[in-house]
Amino acid sequence: MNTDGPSAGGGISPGAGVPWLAGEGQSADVVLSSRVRLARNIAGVRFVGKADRRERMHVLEAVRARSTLLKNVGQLVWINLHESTVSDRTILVERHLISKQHSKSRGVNAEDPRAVLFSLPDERLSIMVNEEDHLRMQSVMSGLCLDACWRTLDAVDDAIGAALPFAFSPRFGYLTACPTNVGTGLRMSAMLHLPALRLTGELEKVKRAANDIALAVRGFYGEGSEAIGDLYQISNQTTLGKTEQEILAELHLEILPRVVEYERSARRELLSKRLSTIEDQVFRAYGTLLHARLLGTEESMTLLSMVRLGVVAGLITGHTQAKINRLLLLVQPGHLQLMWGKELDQEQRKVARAEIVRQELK
Amino acid sequence: MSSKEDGMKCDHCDKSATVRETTVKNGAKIERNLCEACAIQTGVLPDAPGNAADILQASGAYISGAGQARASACATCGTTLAEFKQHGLLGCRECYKVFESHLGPLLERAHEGGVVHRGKSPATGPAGATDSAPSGPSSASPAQVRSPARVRKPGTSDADIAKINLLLDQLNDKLKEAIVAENYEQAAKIRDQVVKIRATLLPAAKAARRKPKPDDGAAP
Repeated sequence: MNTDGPSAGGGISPGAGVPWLAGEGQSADVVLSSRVRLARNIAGVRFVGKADRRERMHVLEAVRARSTLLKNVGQLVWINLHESTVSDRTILVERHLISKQHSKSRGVNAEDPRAVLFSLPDERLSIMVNEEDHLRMQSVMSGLCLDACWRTLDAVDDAIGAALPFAFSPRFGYLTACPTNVGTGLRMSAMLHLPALRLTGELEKVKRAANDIALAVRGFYGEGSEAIGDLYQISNQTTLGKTEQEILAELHLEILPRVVEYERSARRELLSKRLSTIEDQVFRAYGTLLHARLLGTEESMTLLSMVRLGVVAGLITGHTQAKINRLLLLVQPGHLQLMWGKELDQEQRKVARAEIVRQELK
Repeated sequence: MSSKEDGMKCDHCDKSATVRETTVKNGAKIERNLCEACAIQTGVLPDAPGNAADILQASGAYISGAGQARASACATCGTTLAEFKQHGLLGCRECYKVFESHLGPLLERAHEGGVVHRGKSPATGPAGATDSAPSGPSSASPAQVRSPARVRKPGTSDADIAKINLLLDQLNDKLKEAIVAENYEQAAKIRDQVVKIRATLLPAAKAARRKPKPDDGAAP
């Protein structure tokens, strides 16, 4: 295991994009990625919010020692976030390896011991240590594949759980700091690209329907984030009273395929009934990205969304979904500066962002 | 096991049966109907159910206000009820017992009525729940973390707890059905059964599991 935390987040190559944005797998025209997360706490140690420095250090050591038990997940990288730089943490957040919360610190003290463990080269597994819970394990892959993510994470959970007693009660299941996660501690989500449903005005219906069946609809960066670039995450809210298989079946087999089909039919409708309008929006966005000299993050993502729709619908040729997905990551401030090789202020970033986008789309 | 409605006689004596035990052996379902005395005699019902505090706590969840005086702060981590209400976060696993009476309604709202865990358990049985070492700084030494070789195998009491949970599960399903059908009398009966099981069987099974086992090499 790599024990250092070198720049670029411990061996990540920023220009290569992330495997979960590869545009591969089932329903990849709509589903960018699938993600499964398990929350676990170590029995006999107070939860992170109440743990003192010694307990937090103990949790880090306990998890790090058990991580050697993980097989078939690739090369593991461990980064102590309390000893890392802000730019490293920004990269990790942009790659969804850690949460924004975890990047900062939950307590007053920014030096609170906390870490992330992740697998290379595919980054399909990551474990946040001392976030809201002692362990937040996640598996992320491209396309609609919650089942594969679950299999991966279930095995990781068993391997670590066999060596590290988790706080568990027969009634409440796995005990978590927030009772909204108790039980399975399981959150399954898919990141969806839903431009057509926004354009046809049907997105609100999806959101309402999702709320009715206790699913959360969130933005690109999860809880509390805005939906930028027509990217939405749909996830289960209920973690107690259902088995993992039931949660999986509900999302993977029932809800998500329905939303995917809904978006596809909206796309078909737009292309057949409002072709010029859609072509106009797609090519205006494409033109702007090809020629702009200053681009903000949010503006880029909004424009890339329309270009992605154009690529998927076959209106724009010569580019792949994977390339557009990768650009969604490269326009983020952390990745942009890493690509550029130095720190940039906001105005410099706009110039650099526009130049990188122009080069990539040439 | 579940309480029987009218008419059934105890399999062992002539008294009317109040307890039904359902076990599955080699794929076949076996049912026994027992009166309370025979149930205790055959070990289906515990003789001295748990300790008083456990029972008080478990039943406190269903008696509005009863648990509130004792649930103002967690002795293990210091989390207060006010703190929990403000931030929505518990401080340690003991908090789940201390604040149990406040958790019930909250959990039902947050989990679409789900109140009992039905998912997976730790690979080696719910070891975390049996670890009776107090939480807190003193228990944070690495020596307390069991190595794989020392993890206790699931004992019979784990199976008992699983059985009880399954039963609670079934009862909760029936409870929901009764409420949907507006059969409130039946719902009240089922709820009483659930309370009784929580107050007696679960603490007893947990207490049984806390007893050291010959193969339990775990640190105290």
